[in-house]
Amino acid sequence: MSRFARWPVYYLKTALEGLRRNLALNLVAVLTIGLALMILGAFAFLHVNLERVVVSSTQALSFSIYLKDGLAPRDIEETRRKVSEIPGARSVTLVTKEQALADLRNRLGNQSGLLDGLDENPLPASLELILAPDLDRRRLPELTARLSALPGVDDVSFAWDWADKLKALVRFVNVGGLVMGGLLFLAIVFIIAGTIRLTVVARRDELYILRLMGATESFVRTPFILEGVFQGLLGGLLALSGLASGHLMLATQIQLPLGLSLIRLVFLPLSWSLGLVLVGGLLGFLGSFLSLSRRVGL
Amino acid sequence: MIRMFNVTKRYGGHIALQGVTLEVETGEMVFVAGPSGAGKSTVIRLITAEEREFEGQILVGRQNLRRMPARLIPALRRSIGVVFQDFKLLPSRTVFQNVALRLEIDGVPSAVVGKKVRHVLKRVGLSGRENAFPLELSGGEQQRVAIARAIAGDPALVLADEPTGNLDLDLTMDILELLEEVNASGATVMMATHSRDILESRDHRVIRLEQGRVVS
Ligand SMILES: Nc1ncnc2c1ncn2[C@@H]1O[C@H](COP(=O)(O)OP(=O)(O)O)[C@@H](O)[C@H]1O
Ligand SMILES: [Mg+2]
Repeated sequence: MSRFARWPVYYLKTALEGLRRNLALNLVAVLTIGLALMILGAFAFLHVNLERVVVSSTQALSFSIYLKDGLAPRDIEETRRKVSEIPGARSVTLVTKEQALADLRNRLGNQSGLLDGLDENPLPASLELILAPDLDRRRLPELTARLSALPGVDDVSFAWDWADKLKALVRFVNVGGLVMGGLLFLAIVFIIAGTIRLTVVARRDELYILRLMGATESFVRTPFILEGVFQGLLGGLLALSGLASGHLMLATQIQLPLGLSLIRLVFLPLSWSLGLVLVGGLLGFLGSFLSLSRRVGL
Repeated sequence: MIRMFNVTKRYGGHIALQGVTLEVETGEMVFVAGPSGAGKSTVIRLITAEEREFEGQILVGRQNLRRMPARLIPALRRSIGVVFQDFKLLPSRTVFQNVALRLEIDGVPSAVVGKKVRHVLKRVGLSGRENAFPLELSGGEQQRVAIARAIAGDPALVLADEPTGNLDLDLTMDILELLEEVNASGATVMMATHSRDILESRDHRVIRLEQGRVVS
């Protein structure tokens, strides 16, 4: 077995000792890294949740065609036939006023009591038109006009109106996350490089003695590298627990407005959570590596 | 063990060593003597490759320091034990840890380190002080720790740069005896000193330096 295999205990002990010796400084560093990673994680959290909404809303390319109140079944059937003749139509489903109300009750869940006070059903009946997914989107305005002009039709809404806005929001979150991420990565690397550098300088006599005794560069440097990695990992764990408690608060304590509570917030997937912690460790590695690039002592 | 041929060492325009030629046989114990500023420490720093720039030739063991690449320096230093006037112990580590560090650097398995450290501390008369910190010890004891650290890895060469400079006469003689024991057990020992008392009390060979030149 090579000599390297015997050193981990020494490296680990020395790194932990380094963290302990400069406890205050290291705590501040870990807190700062934790905060920075938490901001990153918040972007990831937004991304994941928005993406879910977008996916669920754009699975089908669809129109909701709201019908005027009080149409005779024969008129409804006539409108339905005309709608199904629209080019690109795949299926047309009638949603009656009663079904619409039942749907809303379902989606409101335990808040559905709100609807009990209604004297009459305010929801219109509608035809749900599902279009071929490969339909040319430039034709949508024309289709909207044609559908609106049909007899018995009150209003037409295209699901993509708001899906597009959501998508724009997702793009904004993604780009913002990337830009912020880049800046925060840099900040974290420099924080770690700075604190490790201070430790290195504080221990220059020790490094001199180690090198004089024939310690290799990896023997001298590895404990510092590990120290940086630990800082990063701890920061990552801190960020993760911060995000988890934030998520818990949003999910249970704060009463969201009606509309928002319809969207159930999910936490970051396990792989992302682990990723956040690992990114912390990686940035710690980079930071301490950087801080050791200039040599101190002998 | 050590050969220097016509070695000159300059610091900027200042000449610390000029045309130094000397030889130390394997198994020998020699003094390097001379007043302060004569170049004794420079000789030692050249041998440990702490100073890499010089003119002339230096051989340590089988290594030619002029041709040796930087990556071989750690191995060279692991084969040498060095003792300083100011001990250079790590104040935040115990006696045990200070000596163990030497063995950890050498890559000695951790299972063996403890045994070796206790053995070498016994050799220098410090059994029972394992858990003391250097600053809790007297100067003489600290130098014993430093010697224990220097010899823990059984180096073939031990260099001591005025190891007794901070010690009174009794302790000086103790340390000297200790180094002689190290020499008797096989190591080549080179000790720098400016003390007449030491030189007169022993009959080891003396290499005298004055203003960077070997005078006898
Ligand atoms: N790092 C250095 N920079 C400049 N001059 C030095 C340096 N080290 C030693 N010297 C000079 O070299 C000469 C020899 O020094 P040194 O070897 O320390 O002498 P000694 O150990 O015999 O007292 C002295 O004149 C000293 O001032
Ligand atoms: Mg000197």
